[in-house]
Amino acid sequence: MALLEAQNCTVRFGGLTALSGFTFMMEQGELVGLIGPNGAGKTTFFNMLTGLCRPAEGSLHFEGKDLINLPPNARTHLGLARTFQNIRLFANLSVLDNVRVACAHSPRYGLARAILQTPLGLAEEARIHDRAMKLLETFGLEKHHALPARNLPYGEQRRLEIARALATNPKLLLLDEPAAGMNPFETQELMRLIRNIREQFNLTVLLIEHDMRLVMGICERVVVLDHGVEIAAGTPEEIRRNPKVIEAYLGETDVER
Amino acid sequence: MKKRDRRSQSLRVSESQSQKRNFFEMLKRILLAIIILVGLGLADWIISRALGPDSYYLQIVIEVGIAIILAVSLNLINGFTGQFSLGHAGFAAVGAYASAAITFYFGAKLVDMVAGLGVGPAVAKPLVFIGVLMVAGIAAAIAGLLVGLPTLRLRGDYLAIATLGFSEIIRLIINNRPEIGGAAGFTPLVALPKFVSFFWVYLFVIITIVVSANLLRSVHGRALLSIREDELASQVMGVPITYYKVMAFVLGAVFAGFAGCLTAHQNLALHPNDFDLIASVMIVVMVVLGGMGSITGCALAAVLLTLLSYALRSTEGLIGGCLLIGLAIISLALAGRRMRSYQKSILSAALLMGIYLLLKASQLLLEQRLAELRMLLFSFLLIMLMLTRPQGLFGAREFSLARLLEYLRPLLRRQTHGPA
Repeated sequence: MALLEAQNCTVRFGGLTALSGFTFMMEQGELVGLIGPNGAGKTTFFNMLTGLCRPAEGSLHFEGKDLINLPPNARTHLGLARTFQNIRLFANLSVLDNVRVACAHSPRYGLARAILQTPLGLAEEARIHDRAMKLLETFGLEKHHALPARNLPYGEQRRLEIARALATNPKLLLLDEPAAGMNPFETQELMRLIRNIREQFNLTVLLIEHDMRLVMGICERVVVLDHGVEIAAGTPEEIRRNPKVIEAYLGETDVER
Repeated sequence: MKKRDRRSQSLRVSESQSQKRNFFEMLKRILLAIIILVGLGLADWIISRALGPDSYYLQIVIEVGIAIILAVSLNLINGFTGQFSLGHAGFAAVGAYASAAITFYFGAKLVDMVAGLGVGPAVAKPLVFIGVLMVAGIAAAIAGLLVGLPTLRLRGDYLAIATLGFSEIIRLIINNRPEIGGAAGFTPLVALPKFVSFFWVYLFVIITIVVSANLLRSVHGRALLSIREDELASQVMGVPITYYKVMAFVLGAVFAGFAGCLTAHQNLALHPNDFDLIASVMIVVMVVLGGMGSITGCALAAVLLTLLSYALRSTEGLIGGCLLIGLAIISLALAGRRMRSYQKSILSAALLMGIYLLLKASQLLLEQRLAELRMLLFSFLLIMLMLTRPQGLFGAREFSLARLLEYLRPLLRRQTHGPA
């Protein structure tokens, strides 16, 4: 059974069809890149997966469970986590708190236990604190843990977003342009980081990216979207040579002639 | 499911490991609670001795306490969760009238009944009052739920208007129910002796502050803050925002209900107009002035504003207020040199307003129209405060002794080493 199954998904915003009849499957452990020109529907696909917009048609299954009627937070608990294209950290909260918000807690740790600070509550808080600190260490952010997130440099904000997404204990991690605005050196670092966390946390990763070095460097499979339709899929090598992809990116060419 | 089991198992292990420490921790807390209760009792005794049981000043002290409860509880909704509520007085009204109706119609009977169970009347009255307080809290909680659920999708101004509408609905319903006094007010709450004392009010001040502070330091408090920061990101990170938004409303409402109940049994009279828009706005002003999200800031602002509104009732206070305006004008004029252009334009408007106010104030003082002058000064001082500290007195920070000492250290050092 595939980890993620999106069948025939169509998303419309009024008269605009952002995604039409898109079918997409992912197996456990894959690292897939989703590319395409601006406005191709990549982020819309992410939004649909995480429950921020609803498909007009089609079905969505994650580990065999139907996602369509679940709110975003319930999908996160099933194991879907994402980062955002335009960073959406909790700007005024500390770096540590940003991660702690995303850490799941025991269902027994309710409001009353929090207010009375019972031993169970305190133990849970300690556990969450340790887990968050460990994650920050993985991302080299532990020395900034008390800073407000907005004070971090751009590259570290991007890393913090990934750390926060990992705190939700995901099976499938969706990265929306993780390398946007990074210099080549930082992109290299990011590639290493993505490989590391993928192994360390046993993740399946789907990423949207415009930086072809990153996509070609780490993705095992690449899917190309244009105008809401899949135009190509295959290994990075195949995609690189595919005339349709070149056309979508560069416009009409004389490759075919 | 499996993951959940594993998690609870590891919890159990850590529980048994630290059981002994937990025991001492609990013991420490119980001791602390007893110390607070005894301390409050002592303070109550001293204050009522010093000021007299029915003095004007005791009334002010109690009103300050009620204002703290209202401001700190509204901070849960406005400051932590970022849901702009303009209906806090409405919740207080629900609590006040619910509890007042019970003590008015059943108070004496209840006291007799409880006293009949074998405890003396001295014990029975506080017991009944605790019950009445709980009823006020529950009634307000239901009101909070009724407001929280339908307004979930509203944000910002729209939510403010909806909550404002709700509190007006409450007020108008009360206005039209003769059983609870109607528009004439609910006056003779003689069924229970007046026993809202310093002790009761400040017990609830402490409870409100401790609950907010503990909440803030927990998963649940951080969830509220994350909704304030970015609702969408918060939901995608797994925070059930519906639950937390409603919870913030309910929790805030419960404490407003307590505050309402305390008001009712302190003043022994209620009037629907005590819970109008102005009352709600006053609480919002306390929260904004203290710093949205700062518990200590809100408490301090509640103290300051309540004291200010009382201070401006006396002629001396009014003259002091006029002097303050003068001072503000001078300091603003001095600060003007370092300001940016947009600040300068605000400043010149403020200066003009201040000068006009001073003229108007002297006229009103001469004509002995003190009530009007009071509102003028009050609003001007608020504007001055917001101009000089738009983020509120404390911003989003909490008061901390350590930081204060850190701040004062250079000053202290200069004093001790300065002459040498």
